[in-house]
Amino acid sequence: MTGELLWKQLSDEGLVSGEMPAKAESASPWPVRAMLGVAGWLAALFLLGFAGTAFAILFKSAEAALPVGAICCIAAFGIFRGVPASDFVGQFGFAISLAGQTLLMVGLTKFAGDRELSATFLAMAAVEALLAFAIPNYVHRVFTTLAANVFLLMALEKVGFAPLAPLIAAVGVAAVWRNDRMMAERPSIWEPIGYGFAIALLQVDGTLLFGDLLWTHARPAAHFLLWAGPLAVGLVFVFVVWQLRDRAGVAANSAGGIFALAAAMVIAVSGLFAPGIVAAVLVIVLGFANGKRVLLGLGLLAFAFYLAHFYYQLNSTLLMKSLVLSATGVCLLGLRWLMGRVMPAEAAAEAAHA
Amino acid sequence: MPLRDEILKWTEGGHLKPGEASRAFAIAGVTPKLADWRRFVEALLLWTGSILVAAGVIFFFAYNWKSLPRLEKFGLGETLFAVAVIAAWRLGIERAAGKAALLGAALLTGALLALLGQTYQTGADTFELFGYWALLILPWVIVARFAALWLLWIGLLNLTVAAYFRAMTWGLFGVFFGTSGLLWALFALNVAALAGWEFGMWRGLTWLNRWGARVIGSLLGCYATSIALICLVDPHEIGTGAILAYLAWLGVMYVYYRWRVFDVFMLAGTLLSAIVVTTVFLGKQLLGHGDSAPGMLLIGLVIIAMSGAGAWWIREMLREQSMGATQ
Repeated sequence: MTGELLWKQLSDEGLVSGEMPAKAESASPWPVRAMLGVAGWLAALFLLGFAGTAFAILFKSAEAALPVGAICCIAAFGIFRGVPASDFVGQFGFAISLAGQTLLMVGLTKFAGDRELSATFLAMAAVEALLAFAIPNYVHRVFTTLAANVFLLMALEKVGFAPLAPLIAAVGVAAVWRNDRMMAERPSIWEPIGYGFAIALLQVDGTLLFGDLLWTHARPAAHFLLWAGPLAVGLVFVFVVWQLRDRAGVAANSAGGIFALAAAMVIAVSGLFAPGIVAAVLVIVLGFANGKRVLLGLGLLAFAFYLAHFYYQLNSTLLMKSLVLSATGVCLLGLRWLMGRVMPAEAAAEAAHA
Repeated sequence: MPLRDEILKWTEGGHLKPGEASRAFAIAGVTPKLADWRRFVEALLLWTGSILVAAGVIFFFAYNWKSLPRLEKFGLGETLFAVAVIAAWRLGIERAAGKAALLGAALLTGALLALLGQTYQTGADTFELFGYWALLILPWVIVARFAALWLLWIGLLNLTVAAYFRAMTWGLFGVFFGTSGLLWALFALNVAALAGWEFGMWRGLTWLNRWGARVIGSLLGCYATSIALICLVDPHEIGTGAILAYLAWLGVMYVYYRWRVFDVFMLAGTLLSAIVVTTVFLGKQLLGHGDSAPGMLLIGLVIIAMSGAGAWWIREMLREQSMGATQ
């Protein structure tokens, strides 16, 4: 179906009226955005190197770093608002903003001195969240949402609440990608923020980007949190599956509804021992539901990365890990087999509405 | 532009009420229907289940449970292996379940080889394990007509080469074929793999897919970039000819993925590699000779200019491509 045909159909349904609006310029494809993101970071490092070499005081005192960092972020805001469509200027704004954020972090760390850094990280999480909404650039929004989640994790680690960080990311992923209305109101804001939350979840719960690096300095959490955190993420996953089932028009007490819930619960339980599995499958399912192949691919990549990392994690023995993976796998294969027996493909539609 | 994104543009532009977006998605057919969900759930259960079981078995043998006697270990491994092979045979390799079983059998082959080495202390090097693994599953890889199995096989060849060079980094071999030899070997291997994959797609092997080429292309890009970087940092290590090989790689990637098969992923990746190599080249020329600040500023601005221009260039190519498609 073409855009013109769709417009006509929506017009016939009374959802739109008048002429179809002129086609806006297509956004950059995601590989180009990824390239811009990496190059932006590289440029920001050199700009920071320049600032640090030419004005060494910037990295030595909070009084210098904080205002210059803030000015850089405000300048980036102005650049993106002023010239939103230019690739060159946008890339310059991105690098300036990243340099500004780094200077803010340096300044806040200097300001904290020998004190506990949890407040510093919390402040940085708030700054990143503010920038994610304020600066109208796709790559910038993805990055700042990810950064806000990472800073939040670091803040929670300092006070022994680290297991709650994946829950915040999971709620963010579910809230953004499950809500058509919210996405439709401001897709230019919510889509990149949704990707940022997804990458954050796949990192903090699934070791996608930095492995276990972020967890190495965590203060030991209370024992109940070690279970409550993954359990809550599992419940978010079950809730998402429940809602998607509802949206697909599958009755809760139908065979399809029961299978969906059973599969979701098996995966949620596996998350108590191997949290990266739930995170990856949540992103895969939401990617499929939204027709976002990049999101789906991200989940698949994270699934593979997590299994490789899981092998080396030292929190349990290989025997225990083997039991968790095998039991989960056997349950999922069993459900698939049962599904084929109880609900042959041609009868699936009727069964779902039974 | 995908229809879903088009609808979202209309809602953001105020042409369609946000509350009607779900209905518009349904009319456009971009919301998965019941049959789509069914296929998706079946595939998800099958593939995640199979991979988790295979990973579980590999983890189990890696644990090397002392209290489990040797016979039981082999019995368990071989039983699972036999179940996977029989399942693949009975289900048929044209069906997804048969393919999943065959992939499981291919993974279990490696687990059994590792168990063999672990139990009898054969003294075999790691590269021999990966090499024999690749050799033993080759017949399945050939007959299965399954992209994931080919990717596994190419991955095993990469591991074999890497482990081989790691094992041989001593004596005269290490002197002559150290890091540079490893990179050249991996570069050549992945050039051959990518060329073979693209040739297969060109000959109409529909079961090969573009994502497989992109995975191999990403590996190849990493090796090509590493070769160029080593050449820039220490030309004696790898020889100045390496930069010519890198430039040739850049040229071939551009020509093939711009004019033969238009692929934004490959073009953006190649561009990123060129930006990284240019950055290191400029860094070597401008930094470390007195005041570094102007050099750093210049390099930062060059990266911004290159990436901005690159993004604009790819979007222009995309526009040309879509105009060509509509004519």
